[in-house]
Amino acid sequence: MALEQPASLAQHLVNGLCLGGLFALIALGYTMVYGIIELINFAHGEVFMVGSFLGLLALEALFGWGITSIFVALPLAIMASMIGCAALGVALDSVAYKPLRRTPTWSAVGSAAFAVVGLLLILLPGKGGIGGSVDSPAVWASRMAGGLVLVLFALQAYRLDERSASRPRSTPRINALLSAIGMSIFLQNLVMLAVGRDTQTFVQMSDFTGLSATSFPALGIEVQWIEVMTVVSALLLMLALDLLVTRTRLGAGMRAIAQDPEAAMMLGIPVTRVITMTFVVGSALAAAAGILYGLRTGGIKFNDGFIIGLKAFIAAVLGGIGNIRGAMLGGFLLGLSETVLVATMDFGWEALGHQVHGDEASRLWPRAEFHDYKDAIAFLVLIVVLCLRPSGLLGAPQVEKV
Amino acid sequence: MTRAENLRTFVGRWGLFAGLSLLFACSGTSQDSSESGGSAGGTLTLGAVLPTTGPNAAVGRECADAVQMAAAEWSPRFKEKGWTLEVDVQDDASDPKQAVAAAYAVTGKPSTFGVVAHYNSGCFLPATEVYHSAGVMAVSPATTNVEITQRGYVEIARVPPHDGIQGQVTAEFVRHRLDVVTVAVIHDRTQYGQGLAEVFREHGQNVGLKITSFDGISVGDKDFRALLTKVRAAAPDAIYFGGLYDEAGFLVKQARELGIASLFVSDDAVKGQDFFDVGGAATEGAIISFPGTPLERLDSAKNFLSSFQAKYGRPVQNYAPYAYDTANILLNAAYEAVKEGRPDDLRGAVVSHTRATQHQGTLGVTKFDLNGDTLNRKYSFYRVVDGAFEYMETVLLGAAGQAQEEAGEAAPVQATETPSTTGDAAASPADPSTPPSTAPAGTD
Repeated sequence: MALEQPASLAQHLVNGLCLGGLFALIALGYTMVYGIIELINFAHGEVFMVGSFLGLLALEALFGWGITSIFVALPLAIMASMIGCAALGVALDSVAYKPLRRTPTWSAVGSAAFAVVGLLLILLPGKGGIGGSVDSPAVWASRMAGGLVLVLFALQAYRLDERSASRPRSTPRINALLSAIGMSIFLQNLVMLAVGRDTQTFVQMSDFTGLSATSFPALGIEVQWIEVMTVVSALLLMLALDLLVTRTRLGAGMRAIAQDPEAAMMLGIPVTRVITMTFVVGSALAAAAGILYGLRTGGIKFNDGFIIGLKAFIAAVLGGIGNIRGAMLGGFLLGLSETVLVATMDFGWEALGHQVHGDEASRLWPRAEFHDYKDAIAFLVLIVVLCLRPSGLLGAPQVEKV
Repeated sequence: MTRAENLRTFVGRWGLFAGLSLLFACSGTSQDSSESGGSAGGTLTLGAVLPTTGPNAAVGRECADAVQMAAAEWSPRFKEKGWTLEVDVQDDASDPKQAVAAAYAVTGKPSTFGVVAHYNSGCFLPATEVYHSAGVMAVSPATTNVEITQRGYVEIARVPPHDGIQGQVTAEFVRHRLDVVTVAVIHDRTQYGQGLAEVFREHGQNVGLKITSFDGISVGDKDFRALLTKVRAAAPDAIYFGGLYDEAGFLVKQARELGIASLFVSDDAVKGQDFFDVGGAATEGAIISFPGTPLERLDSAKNFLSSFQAKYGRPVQNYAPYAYDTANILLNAAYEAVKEGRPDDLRGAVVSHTRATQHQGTLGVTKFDLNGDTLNRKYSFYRVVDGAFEYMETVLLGAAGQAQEEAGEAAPVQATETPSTTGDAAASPADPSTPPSTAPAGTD
């Protein structure tokens, strides 16, 4: 029924492209990090979520200062959110992943213990701290100060230790994976404590000035401007990334490390810096996706990063993890299969019913309920693709990674 | 089914314990009565197991206050007969495990004759076993899950109508009062939302609605455009959603963005500020159902609302009147039992008096059917106007279509009993005033 009307097909296409653009932007972060250090950065979904909250924060601040034009406020907010998330990505790497890429020393373990105690002092709810009932200002201030001193001390001790005893090594990959899952849980709970469990209303498209309407008629449907913006900015960012990887020194460094980190190091490529830049770029893309997502759905929540991050990860695997163009392709493929493919299946099922039962179909034929299983269908697509091409669509072993 | 067996032995063991304590209770009270000559003496305890901490703490505390208020009003009358009345408030923290522990604590007290029991269906469901084996009357002021009263326990009852009624009343209302024929039904696959949607679909087809589609969404999902595009193709008169406010807000917002003009109809869990926060201007015109008659329209509730405000210095938010009526039903039953001079079988007497009650309370007349469900089965409907819920009307199950052609077309099981409550004071509309602005966010 749904596809008999061209308007419905057009609508499904628009929905799918939008969703696909978001998936692709997030999938890039997964695939780039995997391509370079073979780590599945499970906290990447949370970076996306933090990006949407930073975007909301920036937009509200800009609105507070009277800057409401969509042509000024939105790019500024996207920029702010991208910078914030880039910093978060670097912090993630240096706190959770980098220490696992080198031989542990007792002083590193000791500084980690100091950092944990300091963070507990600052964050532990109950009395004082974020989300707790605030006790007397003096107690609170001394807790915060004490915690901060401990954390700073730990960081400094760790840095000194790193300088004196930095030896790269190959640790079991599961260590970094567990660390990533831990960071994901940590970030989710941090945001929950900071903003609460409820859905936070995002800035609406109609709140901006500079647009006469939030949608325009095309293809027989009302197309929302945010949908156009989502697809266009996703494509632009991907184009920029592609240029970065293929045309710049940094990109060449990334590709070199992806092929053979030790050889790259011997050739004088600053491996640590390139890895850091990879986190910067991947996290910034996720931040852009976060703000576009917030504008499109109209509300965001602390656990939004989980399911969307998971789907973006599937998109990355679908396209061949480690392959940038594969992630883009996988994202759009997943977005379209959740919308157009599901609608086609619904339509095909009903058409089949008409073939079998004629006009009696509505009474005798079971209702098409493929839509209820749209998430399962996304996984089904993944399974089918992986059966046919075990390393993903573009992830053939010969094709260069990153 | 080892879990069921475990549960059985568990309940059995504790049942023995509770039975023993009951024995002590009886012996204790009978001793009391023999000392004081027949009908007087000792302490009577009204239990109140409510979430005074945790996610529903605000509602729980309000209910506990209402129970205290009722007890304070009854206390002098018990004193006359020589009994001291006390209230034992236990915290279930909206947690099923703690609910069972609290139920044991309160029924373990020999003087406990009845319990104002639980806010969450998930808490009351496991605790029913405890009350049943202890033989203590437990009446809930808020739980609405259908299954609670389906276990055949005479000790279990509740004051609000259950979820099944809501789906049926809404189907009748939508068909007969809003002239809707085609409806797309969406639910959130939770026990609450899906159950409601299924009842709506089944009863809807009986009253002449055409269900164009029936789909589930996931709680936490925010992008329903694909589903709504499918819904749009069938151009239904209305969309019915069984679920909670977040998803309802996103659904209605995205539906309007896709140019769907269908009426949006939903349930009591949507009645709250969060629905507007998420849905924004798109919520305009949406219709939701909510149990009971708005308190401001009930003469019987006016006194309670003002005296609650006077006593606690804050207005009633939501379930206080339900808790107040629940406590009064139990206290009245206990008073009857004391008057009859049956302190040796106090718990049994309270059970029989409660189940036979015809209580004229703040919510109107509460009577229980054989399952322990109320016969006061009214739902009110609200329409969103200028970002607020505006009262439309209150509908009794089976009554929405009375002005319509075929009488008894719906013939729901409950329809036979409904006429008995049509004439009561609660049904008479009071002067028009605004509906409660705040509402519980669903009693799950």
